[in-house]
Amino acid sequence: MKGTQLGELEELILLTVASLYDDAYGVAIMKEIAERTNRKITISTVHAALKRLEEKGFCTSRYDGATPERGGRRKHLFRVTAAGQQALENSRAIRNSLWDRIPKIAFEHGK
Amino acid sequence: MGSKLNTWLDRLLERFCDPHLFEGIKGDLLELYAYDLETGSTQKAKWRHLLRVIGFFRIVFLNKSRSMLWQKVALLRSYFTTTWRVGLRNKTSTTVNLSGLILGITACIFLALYIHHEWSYERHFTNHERTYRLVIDMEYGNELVELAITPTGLAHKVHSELSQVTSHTILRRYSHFHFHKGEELVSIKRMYRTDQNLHEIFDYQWVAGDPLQALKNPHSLVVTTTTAQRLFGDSYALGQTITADDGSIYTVTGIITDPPATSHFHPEAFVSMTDPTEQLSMDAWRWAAYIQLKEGVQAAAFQQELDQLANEIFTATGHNGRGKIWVKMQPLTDIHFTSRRKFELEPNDGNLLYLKGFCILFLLILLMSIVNFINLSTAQASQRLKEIQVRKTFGAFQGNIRGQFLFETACYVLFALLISILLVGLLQPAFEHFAEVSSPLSIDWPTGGLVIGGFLVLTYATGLYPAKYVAKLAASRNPKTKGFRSSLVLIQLTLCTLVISATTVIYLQINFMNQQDLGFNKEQVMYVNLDQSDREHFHELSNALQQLPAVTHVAATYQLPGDIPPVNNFQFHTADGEQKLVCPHIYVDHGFLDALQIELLAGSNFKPYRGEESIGLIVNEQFLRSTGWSPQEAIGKTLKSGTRFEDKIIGVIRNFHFNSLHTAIEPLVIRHASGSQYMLVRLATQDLSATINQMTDTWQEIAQTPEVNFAFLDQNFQQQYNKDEKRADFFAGTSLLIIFISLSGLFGLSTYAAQRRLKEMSIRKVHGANQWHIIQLMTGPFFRLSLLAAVLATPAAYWLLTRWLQNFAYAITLQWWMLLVPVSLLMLLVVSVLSVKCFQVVWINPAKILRNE
Repeated sequence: MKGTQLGELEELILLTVASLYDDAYGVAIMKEIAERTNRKITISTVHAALKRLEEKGFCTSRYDGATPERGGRRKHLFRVTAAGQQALENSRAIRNSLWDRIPKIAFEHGK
Repeated sequence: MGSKLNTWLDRLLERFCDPHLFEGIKGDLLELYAYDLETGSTQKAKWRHLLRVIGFFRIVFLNKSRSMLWQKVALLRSYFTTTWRVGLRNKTSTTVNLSGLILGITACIFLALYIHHEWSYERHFTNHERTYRLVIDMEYGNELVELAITPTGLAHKVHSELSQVTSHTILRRYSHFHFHKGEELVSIKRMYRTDQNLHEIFDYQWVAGDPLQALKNPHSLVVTTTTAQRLFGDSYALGQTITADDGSIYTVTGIITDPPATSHFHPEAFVSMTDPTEQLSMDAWRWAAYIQLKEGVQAAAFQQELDQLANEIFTATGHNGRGKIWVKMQPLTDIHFTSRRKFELEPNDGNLLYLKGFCILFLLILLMSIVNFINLSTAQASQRLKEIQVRKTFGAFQGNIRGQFLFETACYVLFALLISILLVGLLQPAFEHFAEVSSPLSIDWPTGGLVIGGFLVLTYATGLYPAKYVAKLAASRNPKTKGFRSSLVLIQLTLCTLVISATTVIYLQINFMNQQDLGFNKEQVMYVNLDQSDREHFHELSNALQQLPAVTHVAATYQLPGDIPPVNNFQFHTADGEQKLVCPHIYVDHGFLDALQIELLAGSNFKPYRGEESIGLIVNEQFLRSTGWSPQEAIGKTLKSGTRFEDKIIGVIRNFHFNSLHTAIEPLVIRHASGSQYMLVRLATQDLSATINQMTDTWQEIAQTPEVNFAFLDQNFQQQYNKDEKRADFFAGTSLLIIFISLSGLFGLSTYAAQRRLKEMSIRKVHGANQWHIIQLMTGPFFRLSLLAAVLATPAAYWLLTRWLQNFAYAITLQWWMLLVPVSLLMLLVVSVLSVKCFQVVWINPAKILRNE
């Protein structure tokens, strides 16, 4: 399946979902990313990515916790599944192995 | 509070979004909105909210499996399949429906183009809504004379005295101006003399030359690109000089693009004033005067000041002594439609009545197609009862059924619209040629908007009633629509009767105008526009042509019947003292009366001109009506014009129509001229081409003219009726369409009735009903309707047509048969359309139908 690969933005969002643990919903994710990475992404982008992640089976969602400022609407909360965890670990492993393979001399600019 | 935020975009999103996702999305949106409200202004928060909502639409389109949109598309696809299959099954009614719609829409588009063309008169001038023409009303005794012309200096005076006026210009037409182009003589039929302010009122597009300076000096010429082409060919016209046939030399100082045809005058060229001081004179009553008012000036208030000023002016000039003179203002955009004054620059043939008529036709055609559609789809719906019941069983609400049928209509309308647009594209050149309308069809936003708007309006107008009707159909088994359908048919038939009567009367009137005794014989008269060399050899030519056996008379004239003759004022003495009459006068030679076979009532014709002695004048009967003389008394009376001209009346002729029958016969003074502009040749022959060859040979021998153009006088005269005939054809065409659409609708209905009542009629036949009885039963309702329609339509037709005929100075009187014949014709048509299906029912063997019962 083509969709099992994690995109850069998807990875970022999935990591954020994991880090927020039980309070991962659209606005919270958007704000967390803005805070941690200084990247401004729109709310609809977050939702679109979350939907793709859910379709790929990397996270599950449930509704909970209505608040007055949400007009009485519940939060759509996300949690990372085992498959999601696997995907995150895979991509981390790939990165690590690539990092390990970099010879020291490659980063000695101008020395 | 954030929860109240619910724009139409939000609702749209909710409609199409997966409901499972929507709660979370909406919640997030509201949370962010509340956050924005705390940190910024409400306005800004709302904007950001809207942008976010728009962003979310991508989710709608990304998630195919769950989105409501895709479900709807699937549903529509099923509706479309149903539409397609039902359409194919009922081929007759589908064809009738679609052809009615296509014809209706196509005709409507063309009518709309025509109406737009008429409406756009003068609107291409920048400040048209502030521009007025000054015209004169003169009251002499009981008579009110309305003139389109003013004294030369009037416009200038009004401009200088009244501060509300921002600019003015004056125009005067010369019907014939002839220039030498090498050997050839080029005739400019619509040359306008004007002052240097022309550009302030009439802002034409200048290709070359300076609008501000071009018409300042005498003998300056501003030409249109077409005229430039005619006079100078491909060489650059600006700065060139050209010689007129009287020897004067003109310099081209400007070139303008060909002005749009949508104006009350169609200049081929402008020529400057010969003498700047002439502009201030109050004597020469020849000029059309235009002024432009400042923005925001009320025309009515300004008119009062104008009245005052006019009173002062004409008291000072002494014109007010014998009668009263008013200066009126005509809005520039009204001239084409309403102005029917004496001495118009060019005849104004726009007619608000026609325009209204075409607007009504436009609506009628649309109405006809819509009515047809409604009738047929409601009639057909009962056949689809099973389908609707099944849909309802599977959970469709009335609303769904309504939606389905509305969608079906939309499919039909869309298809018809596309075909119509295609047809319009194909037929447009023919239409432009026929209606003499330039209608640049452009594909731009307004047109697109119109098409979409038209589509929606048509869909709802045609589809709403059938859809509602069908949706209710299953609920109660006996829907009452027969009365509704009947009244729609009644409307259709009434309108049909109306347009048939109208078409009949219009054609009778046109025919009447062509057959009317004009007071002269225009058949078998040829004319030639003479050039310099022709004129020098006029007498030799005339003598030589008269030797030909086919030629009976040769005459010279400066004006042709059908042209607009120049005007002059004449003074004369009557029992009431010195009187003045402004009237047309023409210059002809002694052969004119014979060549046109005009009858002399008293006195004598001109004698061939021999010397310096006075030669006399001829006037028409109408002239005597203003003087009170009898024809015999008139002989020997003296007419004066200004200080230079004075002569005696030597003859009185019977009235003849110098112009079309739109205008009443005016007083006419005929003066003798030794030279001429045109030669008239009366023929008495069957073999025209041989005669023309002989004449051409004689001509070339004597005058050495390389090419002689003979033309027929009756054609020149006929041109005045071109617009009438075209309008009549146009009207007849649309009437035919209306009738065709209605009858095809009737045919569809009768088909349906025949299908529905086949069993009933078969049972009747089995029980002994004869054929005549069946026919009566089948056609009776429709026949009664058409009778009722005739009763309704006849008085309306009478009223409308009497009013229309009042437009003509010479009109037919309405006769009873002019209305009766159309009614009978319609009856005949209705019966023949109905009988097609009726006879199927009559002839069919009842056993075939009832076998399965």
